[in-house]
Amino acid sequence: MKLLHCLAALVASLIVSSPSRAQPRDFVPDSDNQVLETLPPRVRVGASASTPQSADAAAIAARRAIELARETADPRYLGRAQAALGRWWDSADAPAPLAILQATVQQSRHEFGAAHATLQRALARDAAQPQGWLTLATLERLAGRYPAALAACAQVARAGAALHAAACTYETRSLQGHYEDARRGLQALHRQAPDAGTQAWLLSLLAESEERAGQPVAARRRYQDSLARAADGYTALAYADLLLRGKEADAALKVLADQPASDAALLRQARAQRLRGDPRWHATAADVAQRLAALNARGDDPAWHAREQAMAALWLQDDAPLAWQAAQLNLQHQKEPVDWLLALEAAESARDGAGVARLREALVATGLRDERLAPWLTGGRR
Amino acid sequence: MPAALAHKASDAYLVVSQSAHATVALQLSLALKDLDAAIDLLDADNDRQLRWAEVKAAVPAIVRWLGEGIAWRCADEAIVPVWRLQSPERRSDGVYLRLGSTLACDPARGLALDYALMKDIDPTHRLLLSGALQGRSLAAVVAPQAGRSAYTLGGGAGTGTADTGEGGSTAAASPADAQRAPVPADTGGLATLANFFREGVHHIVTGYDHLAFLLALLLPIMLRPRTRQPGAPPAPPHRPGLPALALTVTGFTVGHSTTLVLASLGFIHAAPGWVEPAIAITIAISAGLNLYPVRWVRGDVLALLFGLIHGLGFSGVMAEAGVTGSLLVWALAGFNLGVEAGQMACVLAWCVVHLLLVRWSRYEQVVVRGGSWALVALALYWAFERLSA
Repeated sequence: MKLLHCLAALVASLIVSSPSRAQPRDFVPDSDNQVLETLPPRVRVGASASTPQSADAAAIAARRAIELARETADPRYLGRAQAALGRWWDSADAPAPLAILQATVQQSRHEFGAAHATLQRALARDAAQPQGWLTLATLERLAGRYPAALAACAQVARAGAALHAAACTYETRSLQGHYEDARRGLQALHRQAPDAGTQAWLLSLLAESEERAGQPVAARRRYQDSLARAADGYTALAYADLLLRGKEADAALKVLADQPASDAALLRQARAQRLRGDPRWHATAADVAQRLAALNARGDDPAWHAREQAMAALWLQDDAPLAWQAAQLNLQHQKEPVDWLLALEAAESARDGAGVARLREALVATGLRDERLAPWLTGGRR
Repeated sequence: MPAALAHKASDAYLVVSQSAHATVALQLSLALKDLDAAIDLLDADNDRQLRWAEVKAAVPAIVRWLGEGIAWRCADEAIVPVWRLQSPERRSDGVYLRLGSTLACDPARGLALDYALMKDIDPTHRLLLSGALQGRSLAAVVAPQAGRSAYTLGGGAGTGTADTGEGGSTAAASPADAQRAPVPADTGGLATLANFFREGVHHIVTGYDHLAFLLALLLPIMLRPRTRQPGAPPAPPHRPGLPALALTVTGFTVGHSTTLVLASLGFIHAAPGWVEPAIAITIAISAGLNLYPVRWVRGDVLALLFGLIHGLGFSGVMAEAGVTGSLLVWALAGFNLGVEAGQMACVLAWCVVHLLLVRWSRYEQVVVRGGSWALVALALYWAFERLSA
């Protein structure tokens, strides 16, 4: 067994160190006409000293850059969004909509604490911001603070966005275990939803709620319905996770095939390839390792990518101690059900019984209810 | 999976190495997606498909942008690298463009850079520095955050200190950097002169078309009187010896220096589209005149007039270097002196070859006429190639 591990590590290190993967590869274009790069639409960031821009123009440019970052899964455009916000970034006199956009950028970069602080400052000055409260509710849920999330949802209603406020409340209540209420409420909202995008969003909330309720078949249908209405990266990844938990590698690969190759997507692709015994998983896993190394090399806070690091260690590198360490770091920053699942699995692989017990205690304290976590709550898995 | 494997924020990569005692080699890789944001005309046809031809055409603009965004100091003096396109390269998050440069700098006397690329476009942009200087390996992340960010690469107490903290301004850098910055641009005169001298030598020694032109002018000059062999073809009207050589080389120098200076200072503009083919044609004409002499054409005057066109060719190098302000004069002087030095070396080499061969009975036939025919053929090929490009 030990020999096998050594061999696997040797093979992996050879792949990682082979120049074709780890190093930049020079190439000679075939012709002047060869397309080297397909560029996204231009986002004008006119924040130079010579062209002072209005708050409205800054907001439009920042919003477009954030959308671009979502569509392409390229975090480079989050930096452009920050530049678009120019002098209003981290400024005490920023109009609330600009501060909320700043929080969205920070949230997208997994700087959850900073995003939370930015939002609180902005909303204290101007409470008539439904999007701001909605993002704050998301951050509270992410931190496992469900009562605070419900309070923020109530503020969304006060700011006049009834449908979003209701969805916000149902989602939070579902996390607290009120599955039946959430199912009925979200279905009713779905019937009233004005457009395909909103429908897709509500269906994805419904799908996640069904997963927590221990209804993977219903969840699966909801994910499919949601993706059929409007393709969304987060929903696709959540659906792929559901399929991977059921060891349906081929179906997961199909869902991932349409996604931009973000680290999160590549990680799941490698896991799916490994599950179905496709030898290409070694190369994909090496790619993931290289990308995580590149993020560390540029000096990113390890906490921003700890979820991916833990998943890679657990699923691809068979490095239980590293997985457990990264999962704990991750859990300090985000406490979604997948983060608890990851931490519990990692603690178990690392054979840290005391760790599992600590997690169980912390989990109960948040009030999160999730059927997938139940086996650990009833004293040990299975 | 789509081709662009985006996954991390904007990074540029700088690899630094010491190629000789007082020479530092730089390799800078920039993401095409970042260049697109920085350089308006990169995607010239605005179809968001970035083609190789568009990238190549934008190299002068990219080099100018590098000149504005990165300030280099060698031994406390500003120094301007001359960037050359090396290769496109694939990295984990897309295609990058790599440019290379050589700095005439002894890193032991202190080499520092002040990095502000992408500052207004993406505050999360980073420069990832690696390589080795003075036997020590370098690894640092430089952030062009609020202001410029300074980094000392070699020499002095501040070696290896990066200011990557919040605010990232030079004022907040290590004491060694703080006392050094900001450096007025005009203190780097001599370093720039030395750097561009090397460029000038490099340009003439590797610029085969300028050498071919010079050779076409020098071929018929006889440094040593020789008797005509019976039965040999009639000799072209040879200009006599050393004075002719000196006059011709001086004519070429005056000609190309004039247009180089005028173009670099912005008084005249030449479209590279016609300069390059025109240079080839000057070679063909000069070599052709060796074969079919025209009585009233003087070699030194030809050298002067055609030198004007060659000078426009040299000025392209200066334009790509993106030197501005008071350093331009130093750069120009250095480059010009470098071209002259390289030229003199080549002329001397030719004189040695000439004196060795000139006693050969078939010198006239093989070297002068044969060489001229070869130059005509080569020049016409170049002209055709440049016109069809």
